[in-house]
Amino acid sequence: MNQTAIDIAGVTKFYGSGPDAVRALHDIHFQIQHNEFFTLLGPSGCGKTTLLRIIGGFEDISEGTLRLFGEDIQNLPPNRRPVNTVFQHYALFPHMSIRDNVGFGLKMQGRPPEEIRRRSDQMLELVRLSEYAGRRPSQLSGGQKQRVALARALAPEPKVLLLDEPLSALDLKLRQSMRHELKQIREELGITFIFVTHDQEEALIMSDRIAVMSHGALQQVGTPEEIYNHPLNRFVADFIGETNLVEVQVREISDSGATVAFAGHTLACSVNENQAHEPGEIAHMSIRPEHIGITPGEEKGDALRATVLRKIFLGTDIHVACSLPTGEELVARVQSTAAGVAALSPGDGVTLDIDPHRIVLLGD
Amino acid sequence: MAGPGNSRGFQGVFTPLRYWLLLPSWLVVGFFMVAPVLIMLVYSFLTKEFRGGVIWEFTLAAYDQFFLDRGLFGDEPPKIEWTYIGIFWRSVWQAGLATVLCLLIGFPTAYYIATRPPATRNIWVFLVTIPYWVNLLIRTVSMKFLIRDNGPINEWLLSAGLIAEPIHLINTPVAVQLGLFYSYLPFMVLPIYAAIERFDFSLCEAAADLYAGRWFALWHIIIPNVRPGIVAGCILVFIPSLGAFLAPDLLGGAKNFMIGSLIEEQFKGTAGNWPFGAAASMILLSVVLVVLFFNARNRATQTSGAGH
Repeated sequence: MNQTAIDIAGVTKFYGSGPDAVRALHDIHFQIQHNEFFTLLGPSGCGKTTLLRIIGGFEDISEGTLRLFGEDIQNLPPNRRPVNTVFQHYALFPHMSIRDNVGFGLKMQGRPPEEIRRRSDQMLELVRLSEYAGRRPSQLSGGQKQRVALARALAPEPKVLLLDEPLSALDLKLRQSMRHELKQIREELGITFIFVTHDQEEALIMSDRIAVMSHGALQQVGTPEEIYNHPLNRFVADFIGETNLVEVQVREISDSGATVAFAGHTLACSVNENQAHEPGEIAHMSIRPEHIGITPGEEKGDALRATVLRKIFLGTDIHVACSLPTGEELVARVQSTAAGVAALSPGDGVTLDIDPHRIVLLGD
Repeated sequence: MAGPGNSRGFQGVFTPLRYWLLLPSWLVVGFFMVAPVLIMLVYSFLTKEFRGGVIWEFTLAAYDQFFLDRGLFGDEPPKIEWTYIGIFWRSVWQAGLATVLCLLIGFPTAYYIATRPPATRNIWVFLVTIPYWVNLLIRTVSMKFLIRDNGPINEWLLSAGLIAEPIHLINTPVAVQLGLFYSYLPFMVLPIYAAIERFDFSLCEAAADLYAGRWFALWHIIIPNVRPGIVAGCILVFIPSLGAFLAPDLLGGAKNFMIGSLIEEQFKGTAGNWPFGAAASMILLSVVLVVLFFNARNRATQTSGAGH
């Protein structure tokens, strides 16, 4: 089961040539396991779509290798790669019925007509669009087109399915239900999904593993928990979820972690593996808002004291922005039901409590 | 995203001004498009006057002359007159061939232009249309000059030793075809270009992704989606080619008469026969209308299938 579906090694991509060449991807390395929901996540222009198009065969590689189940496929044209794509704007064939759209890949594979018919209907059933089989794409809504695109790409039983921001054109409600549906369909069919998105929430909810990209380079690959709880660098910490990025001075480094100086206090924190820090160095630290506790009133002693700047009600939670005596600003996210929080107003003194197991020293 | 009130604003409010503003268009269409056809229709049923012009007396003589042969003195039993039908057939054939040639050359041209980067497309379109800023008569005469027996093309081929004798083109059907093809090529290129430019090439990526080869994608994805442009181009080439008289006259000579020249003759000087010219025009118009009718019906069934 633990078979490598996609192996990307040292992939670099230039557009143009000579001194005007633009580097879209820089030395990308990772492997995607068979049966994995793998997400390429990053802001627009980070190269995630280019990487997906390289896997699909729509772009060639400047340097590096691309293997699919051990086979070098970088010289195969798209129509000879056993991968199918769900395109961002669906790219349904407007002059064909929904059934013919879904059956297109099967027809191209030269399967017998009765099998094409049977499998197309089966796929339409899977995406719950059986009654639309005879219609044209122009007669469907955005969400329905999206599902047809999915059925069309799944029909030829690809080894790997590529999804290029397939949910970005849908409204929020539809997007949420499609996330669920996609995950379910993948579990049912048991094939590898490579999913491109700029929506970190979507990535966290759906993926088995996530590759975070920025400026054509890979920032971090890991499970949603790893990426969220142990971001390797400032970009990842900032891009995934909300966080407080603060500057600290490293005091001591030990096997279990480090102690740093922050706002006149000494805090213990964890350090990522393979990340070198030296005592005295100025580094960045990520503190998630939900890992900061708030107690109304200023306690004496060593506690971190702050003043409330503003309060934003979010439903189950409340965002409280506080300023420390040294000028830093921290945002805490606490449950609206927490004792005394609802009564806070700007200017009130509070005591902050940071969970040392949850804060991470970041690389650059 | 227009609200319901927004769309009702223009449709539902009655305003007499609307009709006044439309009046100029109706007048132009009526006077310059409908009226001439009606005049022609009436004239085709009138009696010919010898110095040109007509006598206001109803007769079917013009149509009779076109289709039937009653002998030199008009007293023999009628046979089918093949002369004019032959000219007509030749015109249809030449126009059809010109359409096919324009399509064969025009489609790849349009495809090439439409797939250039947006910045260079307009330059290509401009290059295609440049010759058409010159009068058609002058271009046709220039063509005659180029392809005549001692014209530059023959001279060059002779001096290069590629041919032993000049290629004789003037006054042949080939020359007429060349003239038609050259005259109407842009009318094929431009509508197809417009259609391909609007075509969403991600459909081709989707086809390739689903294991279709390039030729399959061309025939089954691109062509069905740009068909309206192809049909428009064919109509724009076929119809004027059918009625063309400059190219057949100047390049084809008397033996390669086309229906356009026949009609032109009837209205020139005092030798003409106005009712006969009008009748030939009406027959030509009927053929064109039949072609357009079938196209319109074809399109109607297509769009109703697509559910627009």
